[in-house]
Amino acid sequence: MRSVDPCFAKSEALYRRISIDQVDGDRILASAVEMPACSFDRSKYSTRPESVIDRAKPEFNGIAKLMVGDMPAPVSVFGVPDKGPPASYEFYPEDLPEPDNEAHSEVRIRISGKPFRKRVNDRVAVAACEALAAPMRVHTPPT
Amino acid sequence: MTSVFEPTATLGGEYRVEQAFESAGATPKRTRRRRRSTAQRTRSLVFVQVPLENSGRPVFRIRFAPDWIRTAQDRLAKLGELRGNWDGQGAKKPTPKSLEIARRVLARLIDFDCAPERVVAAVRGGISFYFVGRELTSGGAHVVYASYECGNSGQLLRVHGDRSKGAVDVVAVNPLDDELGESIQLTQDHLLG
Repeated sequence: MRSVDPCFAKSEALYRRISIDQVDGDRILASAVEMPACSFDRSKYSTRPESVIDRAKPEFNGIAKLMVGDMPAPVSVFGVPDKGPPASYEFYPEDLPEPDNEAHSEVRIRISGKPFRKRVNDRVAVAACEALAAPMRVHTPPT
Repeated sequence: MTSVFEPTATLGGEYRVEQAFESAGATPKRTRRRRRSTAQRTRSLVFVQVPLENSGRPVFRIRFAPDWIRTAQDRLAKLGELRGNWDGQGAKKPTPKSLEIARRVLARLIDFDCAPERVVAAVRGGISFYFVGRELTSGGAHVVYASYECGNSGQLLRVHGDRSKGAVDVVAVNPLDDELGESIQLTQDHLLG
């Protein structure tokens, strides 16, 4: 297996498979992604975008694309009123090659300046999913 | 759809369904041709209790249910059968809590005749009701949209989005009837622009 490559060029594309329930025109619904971490395949280590398709899941025959340069701006979510400023969550790509998928990576969120945490509250997760889905586009329309 | 029957007496049980058909003379053609059980027909109707001024008696407005209700109910039942990793990418299955909240939301949507564009499972877990306005972007997506996110934790969140402005508003909603009803009205206003 290749070693971890933390360098993501802005021109690099990230791909994820989608079903017809997860698109609206050329846009991706927020319900198609998850947070605080969402899996993608890196174009840098993928022979072609179609490699994200899994024959075992025939309804997920579409492909969504996110350019690294289009990563969302940090989202701010207000917590309890009068308890200080809202927490700001930044998006960043993380290279996570797997034995059966060397192109595997994740787009994650973390509170700016703090380490990644596997759990966030529902409101943060929904706001972050909306933000992540916004710059994503349909690369191959699902049928 | 149109109201077909407004009895001023309190009617009970499935009898009122039969009476509604007979009184209104509006039995759907399909029901006339194929004899179906009363229970099956009951699912094709919606009962809405409305107050009658200057009378202590309730009024039941009975109307034929729009097709979207049956579609949404069937869809919700199907989503309840999903297993974990249903997308092959680690998607979480909807929990009983999220399904319970989703049923509450659907019941209120029926009251407001507010049809979702689709009812889907969210990859992060839970059920999502997705609504759209009329205007489309150049890419064929709806400019204005909304969703009700019934989370696996049991929390209900309302999302109002406008793609032309890049604006998204996420608000927690109490799924109790009054607040949810007010929220649905706000969503209808948002979708109408």
